[in-house]
Amino acid sequence: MKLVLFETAGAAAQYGVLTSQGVAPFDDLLDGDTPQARLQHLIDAFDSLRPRLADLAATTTPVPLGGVRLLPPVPWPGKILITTASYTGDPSQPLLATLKSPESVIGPDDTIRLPDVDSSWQFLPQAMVGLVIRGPAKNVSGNKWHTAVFGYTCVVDVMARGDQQFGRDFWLAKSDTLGPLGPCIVTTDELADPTSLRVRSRHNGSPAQDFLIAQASHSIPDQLQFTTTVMTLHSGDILACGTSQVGLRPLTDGDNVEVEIEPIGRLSVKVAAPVRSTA
Amino acid sequence: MKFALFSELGSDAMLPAILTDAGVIDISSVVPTTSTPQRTMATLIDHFDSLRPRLEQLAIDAPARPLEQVRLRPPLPRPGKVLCCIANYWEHAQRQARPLNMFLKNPDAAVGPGDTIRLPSFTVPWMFMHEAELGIVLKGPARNIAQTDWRTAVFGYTCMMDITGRGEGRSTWGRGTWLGKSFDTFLPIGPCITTADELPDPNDLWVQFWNDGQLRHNYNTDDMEHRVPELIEFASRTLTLRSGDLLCCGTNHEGLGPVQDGETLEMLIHGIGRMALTVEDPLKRSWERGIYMGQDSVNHEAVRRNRPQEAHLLHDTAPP
Repeated sequence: MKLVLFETAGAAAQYGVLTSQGVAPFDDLLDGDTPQARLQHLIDAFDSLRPRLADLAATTTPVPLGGVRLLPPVPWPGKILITTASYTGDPSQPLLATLKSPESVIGPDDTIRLPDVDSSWQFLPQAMVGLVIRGPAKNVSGNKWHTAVFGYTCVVDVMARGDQQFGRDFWLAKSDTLGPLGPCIVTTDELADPTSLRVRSRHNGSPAQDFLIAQASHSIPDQLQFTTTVMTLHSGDILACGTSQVGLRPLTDGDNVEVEIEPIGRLSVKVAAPVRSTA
Repeated sequence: MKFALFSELGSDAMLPAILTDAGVIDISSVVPTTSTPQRTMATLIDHFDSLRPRLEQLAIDAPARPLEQVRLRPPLPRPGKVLCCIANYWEHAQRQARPLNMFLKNPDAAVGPGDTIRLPSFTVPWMFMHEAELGIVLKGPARNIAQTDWRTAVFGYTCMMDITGRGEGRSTWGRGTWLGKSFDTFLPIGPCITTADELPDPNDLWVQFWNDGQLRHNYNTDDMEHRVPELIEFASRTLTLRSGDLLCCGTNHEGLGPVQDGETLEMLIHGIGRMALTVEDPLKRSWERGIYMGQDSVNHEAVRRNRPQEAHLLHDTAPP
């Protein structure tokens, strides 16, 4: 099942099932005073809600996609963890992870606004598979990894490249708008094994990254086991599973970045450089 | 005014309160309870100016419950974000200035007074240490705040322990990611939030920390390298700051030391309050007790012992 958060003109954001004909809204089945809270309810109650959602998707007249604006399907994750897993076949580094800010999240067709820092810094759009977590997940052993996953989405972790002392690069990467995700959440009933996924990105229309999850330095179950050894992951958290450095080029004003992971779909975002003061 | 969250004994529900010398005064009749106690605190922050007359009246009229009859909780049980400064104290030495930098700490790790810090059953970090820090409770949304406007983004102040897994020496485990700071329960906050009007200068506060009664940290926030107005400007240039987010000012590392099974950690910032927590280690590891005196320690006695060529750069001052 593909789940989206969307809005139509004049209406509040709501969750729906994405079908070939459009979007079937079901937000009235969810509790919570924010979209993120309703997503957590959806994740925690999904097993009982799923038959009704499938029924709705089959019987409701969907809202055509042309009339909706898709929003980030995980609009304000409690935590966003980005792992250092790599996919280039180089000797594996120890696995680590860093926290990104929930303020960094933007959605399909939104704009990455590059931080206003000196020109020695570069910003790189790292395409990643994002796990949408079902929690609480703590000390998840490798063979139980699937119990901690609700679904999958596309993530762009815009990373800063420059001064690495004391993690200054990681700090700048926490800036607002540097964490696009979407366009939908594919639930695990439709994507049981992420090992087969291929991650491709395009930068201004030209091929950029292209890597296979099967070539991970640390498998997705290992990444889940490691991160949940350190901290409890909760429903609606995001674990972004690392990237390949091959094919990355720095972002500049006016760029377009697309990430495509089948069967999740394609996430496309724009880039704007900061407006410099003339002072 | 000092604000806290408390629970009735035997209950997990958290209620907002004014904290006085006599105990807690329940203010849930004035501050609407929301879906989570964190949002209740954020609501109080957002509406403090208009709620203030009724809160002050309650403080006069309503009876205080002694602290023995209730359980204090972390005043921010689940901050939206926890921003932490890296190495932000001069540590009473003449040295090169360092650029300001920050990292994010796991906001789900929050615990409060009387709670237990649980060391992980994870043996890659070689030691766990305490850092006692001034925490700034933020008021937002705040973005691109100039230093001169810093007070608009500050609601109040609290005590925060930045519990840390170390790699080697006193370097944080996790090479640039600061992941060693984000284990569950490694974020003690409390006992209360003191509103900013009571502490006009956050760069003149006396911070003390004891481990099993042994004084470890004992410093004044006037030794801060990048001061509070600059911290607000720096953080809000990168991130949108929200009401109930926490910005921690870093620690003076002169008093660092290990935390281990069975110990009681106690922290006091004069003008804010005192809280104590205990430590549990399922692996019952043990390290040498006392202030960390390793090769890279900035404790003055350790510097004189390990790096005598730097001793002339130290200037000892006793707080406050």
